[in-house]
Amino acid sequence: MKTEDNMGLEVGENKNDGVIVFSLKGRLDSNTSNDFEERLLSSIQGGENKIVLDFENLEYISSAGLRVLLKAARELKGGDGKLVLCSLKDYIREVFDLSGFVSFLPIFDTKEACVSAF
Amino acid sequence: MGNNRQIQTSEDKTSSFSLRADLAELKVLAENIEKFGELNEIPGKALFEVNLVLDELFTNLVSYGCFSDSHNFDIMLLIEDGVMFIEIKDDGKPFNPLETPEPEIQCDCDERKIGGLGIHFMRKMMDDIEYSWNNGKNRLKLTKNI
Repeated sequence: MKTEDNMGLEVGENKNDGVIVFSLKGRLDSNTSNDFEERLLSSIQGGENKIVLDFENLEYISSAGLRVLLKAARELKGGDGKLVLCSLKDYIREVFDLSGFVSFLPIFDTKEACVSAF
Repeated sequence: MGNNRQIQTSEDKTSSFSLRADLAELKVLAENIEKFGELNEIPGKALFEVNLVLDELFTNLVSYGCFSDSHNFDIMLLIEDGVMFIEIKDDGKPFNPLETPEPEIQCDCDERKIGGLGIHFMRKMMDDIEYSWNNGKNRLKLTKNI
């Protein structure tokens, strides 16, 4: 059975060699996207510009979640920063294909491949 | 899925529930869809797509479609011979999603807009979509081959 907590979003954070990795677990939807947006944008404003989003444990994303990624990608575009994604489940990947977001968000199979993309 | 498999009854093949016009109800939506999927052994991808499309429609209603905060979003799910039928009724503003223009999805991130993406997902992920407006309610019938 799913508990209340499984309907939320947990975000882990790890920084190594100038690359910051956010690991998302749970659901990125209109309930959880505001908190994540605040966190992601404030890290960009704080100077982070090599950002990996690890979606291995992301179970769900809606257009509210895509909106956050779009904002972050725009913020980074002015500088030489980059936002990349890894470990998407097949059905999550489909959302990126259908939305056309694959054209400006690089997607890799593994976290290691992401990190070496910088 | 389903360690404790039960013999299916015809009751399992339908599910009706109602959501208040409050985004917190997305949890109720997800839980109901998940339960329906487990009972009917619907593959995860198809279930995700149904959840996503209903989420987008519901989020649209809550964000743009309300006259007041007392609206309801009534959902009925039915599965029959590998085809899932979904009916959604709401008493918000008249809104025919089939009349919304297709979003521009090929452009660069500077020009990208999020508006219209939810309806775009619905068009791509559902096999049939019918809209009608009667008795002061929007009624949307979706069909998805599982």
